[in-house]
Amino acid sequence: MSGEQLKEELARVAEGAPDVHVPDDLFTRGRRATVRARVLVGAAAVACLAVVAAVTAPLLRVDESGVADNGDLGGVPDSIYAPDDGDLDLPMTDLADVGRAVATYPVTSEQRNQVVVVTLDGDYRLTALPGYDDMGASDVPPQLSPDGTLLAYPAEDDATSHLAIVDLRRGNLAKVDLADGLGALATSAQWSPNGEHLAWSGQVVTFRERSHRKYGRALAGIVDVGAMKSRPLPRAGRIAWDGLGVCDDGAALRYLWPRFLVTPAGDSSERERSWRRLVETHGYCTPPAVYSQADLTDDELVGWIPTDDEAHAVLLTEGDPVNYLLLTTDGAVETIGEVAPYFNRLSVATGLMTPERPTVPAGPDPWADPWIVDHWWIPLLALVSTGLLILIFVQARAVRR
Amino acid sequence: MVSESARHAFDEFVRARTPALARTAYLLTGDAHLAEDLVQTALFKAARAWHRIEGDPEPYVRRILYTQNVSWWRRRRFRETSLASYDDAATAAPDSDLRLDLEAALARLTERQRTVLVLRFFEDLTEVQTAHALGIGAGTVKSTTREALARLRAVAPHLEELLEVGS
Repeated sequence: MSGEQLKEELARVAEGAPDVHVPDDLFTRGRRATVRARVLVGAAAVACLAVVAAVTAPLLRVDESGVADNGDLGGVPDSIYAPDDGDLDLPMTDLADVGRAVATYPVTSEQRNQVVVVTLDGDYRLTALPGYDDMGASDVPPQLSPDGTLLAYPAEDDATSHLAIVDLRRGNLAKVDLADGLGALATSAQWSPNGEHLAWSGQVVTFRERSHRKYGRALAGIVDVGAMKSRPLPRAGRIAWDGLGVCDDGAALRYLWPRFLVTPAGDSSERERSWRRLVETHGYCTPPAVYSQADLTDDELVGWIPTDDEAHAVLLTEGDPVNYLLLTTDGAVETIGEVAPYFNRLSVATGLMTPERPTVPAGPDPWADPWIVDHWWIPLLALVSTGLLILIFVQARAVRR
Repeated sequence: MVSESARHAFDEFVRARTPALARTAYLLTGDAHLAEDLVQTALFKAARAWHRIEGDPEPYVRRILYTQNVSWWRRRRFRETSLASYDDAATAAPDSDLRLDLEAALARLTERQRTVLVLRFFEDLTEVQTAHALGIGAGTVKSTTREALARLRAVAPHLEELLEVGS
């Protein structure tokens, strides 16, 4: 007996096999199933990627480096934020706890004396300046010293109108009398590049009763920051000192195209100087505000970055949807940052800026929506993808059966 | 898109080879309906992979037939009521009035036994090929073959001569 006989018998049994009906469209259905499977595999791959992305993206998201991350370098951030809706939603910080700043801007509030301070660490702090009235007669926003340690602003107390200078590191507040009697309203103020002097111009206050004021003759002065004393400038009634500049040695500066007119400290004479000669004699200078308007008239002057060859103006221009921080370089204008609109009465620590590195990368926007709000589609995608994966899994099991 | 020639080749294959596939499927399943399902499933899977099949498609389709049947009986293994055990069958064997022919005897085998028997003696696969097709060891194929033949001898003593091959 051999396997052949068994095979023959099995073949005989197999004769009872049914006539198998094969549908005419079996091939088409098979091909469709293949296409479907490929699509599902593709979708599964996408879904897996989406799930992986959703899980890892928040983990891998690099925290935008704050200004603090620049270590000792510090710097003015290239984005200065403000809430879109005007709602600051910041706790009040005591003046003594503010710390060194890189930028400040006043906010319109019921109290009318509040400013936002962007600290060297990149934090945004809201603080109140005693005697400051943002809606008052002066258009001068608080002026940050070049090194970001002092903030000068026109102020009033029960007795006089004056300049107040606050030390942001310690909260010390100094009152600088500008004139006898009721004092004077400063309508311009500029720091010298080394922060040791502050040039101001304004008008004496001749009458004061509640919110009503009257102003008299023009006057100007140079504040010696070390002594917190203002030195009046000569012939203030006859010379237009508005927006005057100041050099590191305290010399006052006007501009009469194409030369600078300098009045040295302790001297009432006025001499013509080129920029280079000025720097050689008096150190770096902050040019008069009018100097920036020689070429550009529509932008707001924020400060100056002086060099041996020229003074680079830091300007703020209106844009949409943001305002832009500009820097004049070699007759051209370079955009160096963005500033939130509506809060554009800005002052920056120009001593932390150089023409080569005017700004540093900004830290995160404290008013930005949480990351997940801007990326709502990632969890949604992950959810859909997970559902798709389950569907594919179920489908695959069904096909295998 | 798949060419008309591929579709034509598939249709031609179905027309020519379905009866043979049906016979194998019938032996594997022992049931006409299951056999039909098995062939249709195998052909459907072949259609899905037709573009990847090079040369003669029959070995490919037959392999699907075997593996699909294995897949089915593995899935049914825990659900179905198992056939009478070898010992039970041996007990029943002395009933000389019960003369089972081979077809009925095959139905008394377990699915694994029947499948191994079909692949070894109807499909002419070697032990190694059978083991490979069913995803089991060659030793298991050998022992299963021995058990299957012994069981057939027990349930159908009149097939003794036929079944000496496995002794």
